[in-house]
Amino acid sequence: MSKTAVLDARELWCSYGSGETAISVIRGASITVSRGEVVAVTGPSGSGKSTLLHALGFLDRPRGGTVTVCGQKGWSLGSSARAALRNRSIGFVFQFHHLLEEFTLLENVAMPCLISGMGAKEARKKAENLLQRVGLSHRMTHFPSRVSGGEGQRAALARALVMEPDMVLADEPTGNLDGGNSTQVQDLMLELAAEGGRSFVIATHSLELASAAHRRLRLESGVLLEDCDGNDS
Amino acid sequence: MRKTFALQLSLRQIWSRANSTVVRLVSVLSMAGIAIGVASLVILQAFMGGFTEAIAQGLSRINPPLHVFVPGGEAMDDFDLGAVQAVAATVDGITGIVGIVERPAIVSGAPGTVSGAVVRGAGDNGSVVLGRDLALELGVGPGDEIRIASAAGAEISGTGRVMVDTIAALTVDSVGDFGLAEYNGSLVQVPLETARGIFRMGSGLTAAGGYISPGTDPVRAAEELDARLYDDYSGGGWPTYMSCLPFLAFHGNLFRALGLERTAMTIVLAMITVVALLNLSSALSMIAMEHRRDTGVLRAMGLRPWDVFTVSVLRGLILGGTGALGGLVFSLAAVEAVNRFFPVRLDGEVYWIDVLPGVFPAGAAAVVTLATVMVCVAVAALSSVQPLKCSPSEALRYE
Repeated sequence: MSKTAVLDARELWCSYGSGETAISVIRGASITVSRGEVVAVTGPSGSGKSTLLHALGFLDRPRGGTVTVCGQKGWSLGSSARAALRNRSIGFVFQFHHLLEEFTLLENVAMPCLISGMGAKEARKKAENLLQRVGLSHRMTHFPSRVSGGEGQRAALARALVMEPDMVLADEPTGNLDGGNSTQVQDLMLELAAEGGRSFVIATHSLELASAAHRRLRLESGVLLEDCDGNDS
Repeated sequence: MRKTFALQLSLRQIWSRANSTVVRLVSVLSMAGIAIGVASLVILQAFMGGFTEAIAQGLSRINPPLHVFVPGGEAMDDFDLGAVQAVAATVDGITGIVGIVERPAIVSGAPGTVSGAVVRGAGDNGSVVLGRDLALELGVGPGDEIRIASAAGAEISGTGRVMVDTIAALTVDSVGDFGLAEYNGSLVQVPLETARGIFRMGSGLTAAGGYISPGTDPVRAAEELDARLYDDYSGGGWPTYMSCLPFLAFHGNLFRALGLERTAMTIVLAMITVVALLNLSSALSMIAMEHRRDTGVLRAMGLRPWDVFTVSVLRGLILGGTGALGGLVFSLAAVEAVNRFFPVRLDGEVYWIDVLPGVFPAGAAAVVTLATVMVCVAVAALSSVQPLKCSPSEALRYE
């Protein structure tokens, strides 16, 4: 792993099921992401993009291989230490915003801070700043059911960034948005990546988003390949 | 994770308007179930305990807590009383021993009235007191005269007629409530020497009664005095074998029957609480299921498995604790309301007391409430097993 690498995954194997019915989804994938680098992972539906991101973010244990984030082998840590590593170093953005319906946007964005044990005032302040940055200062007290899909996804982006993580894993962040909202979220994501020097690994079908990334990888038959021609299926 | 955040998270998952109506309804119903279960148990204890206590108090009102007697029904006398007093002085908690004379007699009051009665003389009681129902039956009140005829003075003449030459005329000093309908309808309290005169007993006594200081256990005091009396008798210190029992032991069967009924009803009502706990369990599982994806999102944000467990337990604590406390408050209010505004009238001839008293059982209520809350927490902990087993990735895929 290079000195500036935020993420280094080696020989990842992921499968569903067990025994004879086991289906291998990721077959020996390796990926290294440097600080501030934006990497797009493309591939057809069902190719294992989400599975790869979940394994990289310590949400699902791979059958084999290692994942190192900020020098820490997450799968070798205890569950609490792994949770702390996720909280501190990794932000997640999902295809659907997955905001908690019972909480306002402000509370949703402040949530990772509160989980880390930060004081409520400080967490609120950080959440307010980020919501302002993503253009949702007028929606802070609104519940997720009262905002549009694009606004919800921007709030989810703010939530992923509120702990100032080293890396953000975004799983088809624009996949559920229309053209206008999709562009808005995409631009915002790239701006924030550039501003904070944060690494992004984005699984996407969007050629536009993929072409804006620093590097593009293609997941095909469970193998991760450098994508030079930008084809997507 | 801060505890306040865990609490806020648990509360919102239960109460928020964002939740489905079914979840909120199930939450309310499970709390209501727990409240009903706890209230039923506490109210049962309050009234069964109140009834038992009222009977015991009624019996103890005119009877000293310790009863010293000669087994076989033989009479005692003042010498025996002196011996008992000397032995009792060495027993902790016994404050005094008095002689008792208690025998059946016939009493008449206003012209044409007559009734069977129990005449009782004890210690230094210096006045004539009639049970209120007996006074009513005889048509007398304070200042009126009654006549008491005892069988001790009865003689059968050659013609078969009963001749009674011991008829005492006494002036009623007061009419009293002796606490039990049975006593109110039959008891005449007179000075000890008057009773001895009516029954021609000289220095004889039918029994002796012992008083104890507040906080002294009558059972322990009776056992100790009984043992000392036996030692004294077997050691040759005194020729009369006397025994001592707590007075309420003479009504032991009644109290055992009441206790058995109370236990049986407690078991039946505890079943209601168990059903409520099962309902709570399904409500907690439903809430956990409803928030399965949220749990995945929260774990992606860094929530530890321990925090997931804490939130689950807090949900159980909120639902179970609110229900249990609600039941506790309701039972306290119900007992007070019945005592103050809606007294339950009883037939004194049947139940010995006229009104069913509720005595709020603070200790039992605390035990019932705490036990319920603890079981709720255990049920909640069990409901966290499924979310904990599920990986964050699996939870995120759940729709």
